[in-house]
Amino acid sequence: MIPLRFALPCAALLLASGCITQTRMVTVNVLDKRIDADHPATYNGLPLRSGQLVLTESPDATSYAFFLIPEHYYPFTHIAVLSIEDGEPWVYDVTGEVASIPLKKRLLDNVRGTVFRRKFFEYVSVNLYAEVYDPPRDAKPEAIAAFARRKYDQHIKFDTHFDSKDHSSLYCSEMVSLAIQHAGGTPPALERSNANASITKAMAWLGVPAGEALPAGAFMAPERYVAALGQFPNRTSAWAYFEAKREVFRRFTTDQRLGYVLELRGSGELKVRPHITDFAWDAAKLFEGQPEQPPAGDPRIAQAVRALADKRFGPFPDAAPLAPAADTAPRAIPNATPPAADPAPSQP
Amino acid sequence: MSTSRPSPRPAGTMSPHLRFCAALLLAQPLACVHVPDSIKQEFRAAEPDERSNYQPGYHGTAPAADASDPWSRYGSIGASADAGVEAPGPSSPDAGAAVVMPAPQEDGGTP
Repeated sequence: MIPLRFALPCAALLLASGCITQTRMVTVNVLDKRIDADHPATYNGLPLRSGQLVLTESPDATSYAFFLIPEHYYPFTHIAVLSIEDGEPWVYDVTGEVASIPLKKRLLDNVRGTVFRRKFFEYVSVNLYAEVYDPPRDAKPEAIAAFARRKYDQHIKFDTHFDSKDHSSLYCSEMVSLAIQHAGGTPPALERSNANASITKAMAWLGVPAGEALPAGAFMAPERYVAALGQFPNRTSAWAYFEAKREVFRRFTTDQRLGYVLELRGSGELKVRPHITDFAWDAAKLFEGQPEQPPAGDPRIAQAVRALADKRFGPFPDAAPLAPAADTAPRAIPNATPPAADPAPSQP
Repeated sequence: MSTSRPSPRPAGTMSPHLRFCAALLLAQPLACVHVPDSIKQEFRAAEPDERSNYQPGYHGTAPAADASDPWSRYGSIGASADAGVEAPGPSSPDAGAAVVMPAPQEDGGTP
């Protein structure tokens, strides 16, 4: 059997419409940052360095489609590499886009893309949320950045077929995985894809065989966390949003259809069902105004979001109940700083 | 004497003909993508009597998907490479600052 490859983080990006051209002012909230002896501030008070990884969550509807593809839930939809050049942080990523006038019948046949280079805050500002992570300890950070710059100079093409073995074209997490390898590090392994029949059918329609995935979220590690930025009021809110998506994932069992979560319009445009987005945005507000904001990974966030889901959609027990707080507490990774006293989110 | 005729339309508006052309152009982008009926069926909304796990009432009978806490999995990812690294502790008090900037045009290169 031919091993099949599929990667979702980039797919969420490549399906994003490129037709919005209006200019607007965007606020990028610096929600949290890790400043210590190993992480001195280098740019606008942030400890940014070459070779760090930038994980982002797209505001696009497709982020709700492709997070369902792997066998496990992962936060974030895209990954990129940071490179400091003359004191300025630049972000390198591989991204595809649907042609303005897609003339081909198969959606992915209308996709083109390459490696992009953008200023850090510009890159982050169009996303819902971003976190910066140090690369794995065994990888040389400068070598990671150099690899990404080289791929940019080579005008490497976006891989619409998500082939992890053919590196003549790349998708986002494939480039980062290769960069880490070339820098002497160990990238995360490929993940198996979801066996849900509805997903398998949709993937076949897209021309991307299901099989394996390399989600952007697989590259994060709590101990390598550096900073959080985005449109949420604080990191707790962002991780409550991710918990809501995890709950949507948990309920997407083998007998569920994509239509329960997503709508595909006749034109091919993808929309998230309103009751799903309402649930996620309301989850993001669960701790709004509370004096104590649980840190990312704190089990209280999961419990509150689960309770909200049970209220909205009816109880849906897990195979195993939520772990008691005593067991899960060591997993909690504290926010580097308390949340802002007067958050001013532009969204959600 | 000017030979140009004053436009009957307010400045900045399009004629019906132009509007039609614009609408046609806007409708064009996704019009060529073929969505087969079998795929449309997969994306149908849940009927009230369907066992959707996203509405109150009867749910599906399959066990919950494996949505183990991602935070618990990260201990095993790159564990050897990251061994001995401590989780970040409390740090700078000035997080929460905001950078306001003009949003770049969405050129498709953005996620």
